[in-house]
Parts: sequence; structure tokens; C-alpha cells
Amino acid sequence: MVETRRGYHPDNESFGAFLMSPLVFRWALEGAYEVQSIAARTTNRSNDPDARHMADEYVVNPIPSGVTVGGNARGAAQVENHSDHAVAHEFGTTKQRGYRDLARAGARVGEFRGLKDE
Amino acid sequence: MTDLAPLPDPNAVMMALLQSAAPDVDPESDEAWYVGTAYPDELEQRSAPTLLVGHLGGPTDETGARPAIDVTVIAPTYTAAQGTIEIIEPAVMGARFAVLEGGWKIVIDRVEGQGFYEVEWDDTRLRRFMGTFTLTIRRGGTTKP
Repeated sequence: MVETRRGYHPDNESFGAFLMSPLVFRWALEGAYEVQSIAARTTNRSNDPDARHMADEYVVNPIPSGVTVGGNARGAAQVENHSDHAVAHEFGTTKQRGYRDLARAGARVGEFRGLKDE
Repeated sequence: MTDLAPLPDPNAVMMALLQSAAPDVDPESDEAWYVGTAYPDELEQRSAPTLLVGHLGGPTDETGARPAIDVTVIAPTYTAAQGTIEIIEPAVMGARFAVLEGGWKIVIDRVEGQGFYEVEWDDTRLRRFMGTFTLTIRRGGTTKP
């Protein structure tokens, strides 16, 4: 049987503050940097050494308090690519299926489930 | 060392679910749906919905796997695409098993989805919707034929 204490109220406010603190936010950033490095390695590059490669243009965008998970504010980090070809490469066109390199990188690091209350 | 049962191809599992939900002939266009992993020939001329499946990845262990799988619905009109999604989304979310080609039956413990969203592309006449499902599938099932 679980021990309970009468009159005990968990301090949710400070727990929320802890989860928004740099101590925990660090994990979101680390995961995002891992996704970025996998995406950069798996995205196709041309053989031109002087070219500007889309694979090198994945950037990590920290969102310290921009995401709500199950009603609670949490720190998060996004991986983005602002290259001109990024959308066509990721999602494809009528001639070429999307490579989904960023989604695959995300699925390798974490569970691909989006923002759900779990 | 233990001999583990083989893991099914996640793309094949999803294609089996979509094919079992698909009508024999699309009521609007009188053509069959296309379900596959690559574009069909003459995608732009098709009037029936085209369904594409793509495995993104996901963790595996000795009991099974949790593959994330992309499903892309391409249809000539918004209404046709939404009608297709209304058929396939509940069929996939409610699936508890899938029967692959040859009768290999796979147990599905859980399905999680994120809904379908429109992704615009270079063709304005064809509407494209994408959704991602995460299946929790088990190894084995019935004996692989």
C-alpha cells in the first residue's frame, strides 16, 4: 500500500518551474542537437565541395517556454531548415517523393508521437 | 541466444490495413484506389485517390516494434481527399491485427495518430494530405508462410 500523508499538497508550481529550468531544458536541447546531427548526416549532398549544402542548414531553435504538454508549459526545441529546397526535399513534389530526412532523424531519437498528454 | 520471430515490414502492415479498408471501386471515379510505397504511373491523370506509405523509423525490441509510418493521401479534390481520410483513419486507428500477403497475421497492440494535415505542393489540381501513425506491433503472429 502506498504511504499517504494527511494534509499533504504537492507543490506543483515549483515542480513546473523545475521542468522549465535549464536543468531539464538541457535535455530538450540535447535531443534537438542529436536530431540535427543525424539529419545533417543522412541528407544527400552533391559532390561539389564548394556548394552550399542543404544538409548543413539544419538549425536548432530553442523554445524555453513555448510549448504546452497536457496543459503544462514545458521547454522545447525545434529543428528547422530554412533552405529554399528544404520543403521539396522533406515532403516531395509530384515527380519525387519526399525524403523525410528530418522526420526520420526525429523518429530515431525520440518516439514520434507529437505533443500528447502522456 | 534465443531465436526471435521475425518482425514484419511496417510498410507492408500499413498497406494491408489500408487495402482492407479500401472499397473495391471508388464510388466517385469508378477506379480502384492505389496503395503503394512509390508513385503510380501517371499520378496526375488519376481520378481515384492515391495512398502512399512510408516508414520513418522507430524503436524495436525483443517483443516487437513501434514504427512511425507516414500515410499520404493524394486526390483530385478536397472533398475526395477528406472522404478517403474518413474511411482510412478509423480503420487504422481501430485496427488490432493486420493480415499480410500469404496469411501472416500480425498483432497490433496500439495505434497512435496525429491527424491528417494538408501539405501544399507544386500541383494545384491535386490535393495532398499527410498523416503519421505509430503502430505498436508484435513479432511473430501466426507462422510466417
